[in-house]
Amino acid sequence: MADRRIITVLSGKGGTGKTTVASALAMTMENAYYIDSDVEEPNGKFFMKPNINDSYTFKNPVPRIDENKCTFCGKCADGCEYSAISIIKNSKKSFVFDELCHSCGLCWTICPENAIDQFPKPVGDVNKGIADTCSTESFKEGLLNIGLPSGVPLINHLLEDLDDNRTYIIDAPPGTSCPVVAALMPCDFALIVTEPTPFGINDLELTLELIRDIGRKGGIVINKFRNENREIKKLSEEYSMPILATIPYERSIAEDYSDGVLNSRVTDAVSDIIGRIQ
Amino acid sequence: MKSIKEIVVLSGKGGTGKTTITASLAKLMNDKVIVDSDVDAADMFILLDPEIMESNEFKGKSVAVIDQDKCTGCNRCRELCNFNAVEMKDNKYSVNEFMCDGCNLCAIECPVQAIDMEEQIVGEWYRSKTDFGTMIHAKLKPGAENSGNLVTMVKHQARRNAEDNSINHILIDGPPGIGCPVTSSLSGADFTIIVTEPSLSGVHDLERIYSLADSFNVSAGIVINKFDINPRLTDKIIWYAEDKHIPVIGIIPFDDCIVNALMNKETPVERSDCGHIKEIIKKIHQYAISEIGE
Repeated sequence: MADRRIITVLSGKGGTGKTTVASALAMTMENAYYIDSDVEEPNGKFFMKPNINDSYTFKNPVPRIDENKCTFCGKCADGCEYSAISIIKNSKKSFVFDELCHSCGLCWTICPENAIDQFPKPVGDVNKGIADTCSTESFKEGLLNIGLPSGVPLINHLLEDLDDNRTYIIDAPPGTSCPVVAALMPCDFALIVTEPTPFGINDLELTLELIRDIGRKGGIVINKFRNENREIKKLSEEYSMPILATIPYERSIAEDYSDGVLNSRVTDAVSDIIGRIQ
Repeated sequence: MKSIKEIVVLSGKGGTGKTTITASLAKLMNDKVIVDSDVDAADMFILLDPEIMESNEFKGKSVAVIDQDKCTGCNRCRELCNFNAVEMKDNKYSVNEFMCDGCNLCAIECPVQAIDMEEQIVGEWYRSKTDFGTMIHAKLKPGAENSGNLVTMVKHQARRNAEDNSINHILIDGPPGIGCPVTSSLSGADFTIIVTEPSLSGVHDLERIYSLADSFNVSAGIVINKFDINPRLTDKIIWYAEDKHIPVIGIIPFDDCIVNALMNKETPVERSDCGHIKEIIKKIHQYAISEIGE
């Protein structure tokens, strides 16, 4: 039985402290690998301070129609759920809108003339490296190209082929929609970072609902903690996801964060978490 | 001719203060429809207390469903699916609804027609009444796709409402990030307020969100929130803004009065202990209005 652990750190609301907690976990746990799957705005590098030694562009296939072979039957355009292809039968013209394409492969699979080739289109960059606190490869991030609609293919790529016998910490994007689902799918444990504000609590509930629907174990970290919060406690009980640690509301933590420094109050809290999820 | 002007509040990085600023502006501004386009973590209702007048279902993409009686286990669907949505357990095939992208390829290619596409209700959108004008907002089911389409729907409804009632402005609270819900929020906007903070993350994300806004030809103004957390990075943001010719239209300190207001589900502009913050937000409001015209 492989001894692999995958922990996804997520929050619903942005700015509650996902990256702070995820990078502190990765740096505190032995031989952990940090993956920044917030590909729209990846920020883990500011804390992990990796020495990047491998970078490449991740590409996803989009269709290219060979107009010499195409009979302009229109099956690809009619079949495309994303309206990414347009065929004008009368003037024998074809158009592909790369930015609408989801790379599902329907068009090149169903084309009766085999007239559609797959063209690798850049989605974003992947950077891999060795984190400050580690001696082997222990950091990767995806950086979605600006203007592209979806980071999901890049997130899925980052989370493919993870080693057995290693602990992975996945830093998820904010929100609760498809990119977050992609970051949650491979995990064994979902760690939610919330804050005791009406916004934080509203988004906490959405996140708990998502984790329960997907069927993962989870736990809660309360950041910017001031005093006991009944609503968070109630939600924690209702969804059976325990409160594992709290990080106090303190200006010095925000100041340290701004410069990419992990405050000792954060690392203390994270040590509590590690004890409780292993 | 387009006469309705749209202001969208964005940030790239989450948690910099978009919703606080937008809700404050909503309380200062006249003649507008309010929109919350952060449909997968919609929070502005907390500050504006809308009364829902009309609620509508939002249908998303369809999801593939395999008929177990017809399935012969040929594995064709699993081989073809580029979203790894087809799962096999004990020789039984099923589709993971969270991973299915609704492309229809498996349904077309299944040799025994065992796969059907089933339409999903993925959210709701609402037309609501607030003390500060009509608000159009939505709620996406957690885990759902198509948030960009829901944003487009919400903005379309806001525009219709503005046209029907001769309202001249639309004020939008945008989502974080730079992906599809953000591009849908930016599309057609006249001015964007980018709320940033002086952290390494904030600066990095500001540059990415500004590039996106610029590619849409939407002019921008920058608000630096929590500016006194890191004066060095605040300077860096100001230099960046000068270099790109983006006006800095508001500089807000890290102040407990803002957190206290939010804890009470209020905005800084209605709190007596937050008068200095209100003055800053009033200037942001004046700038935005001068940018888009009365």
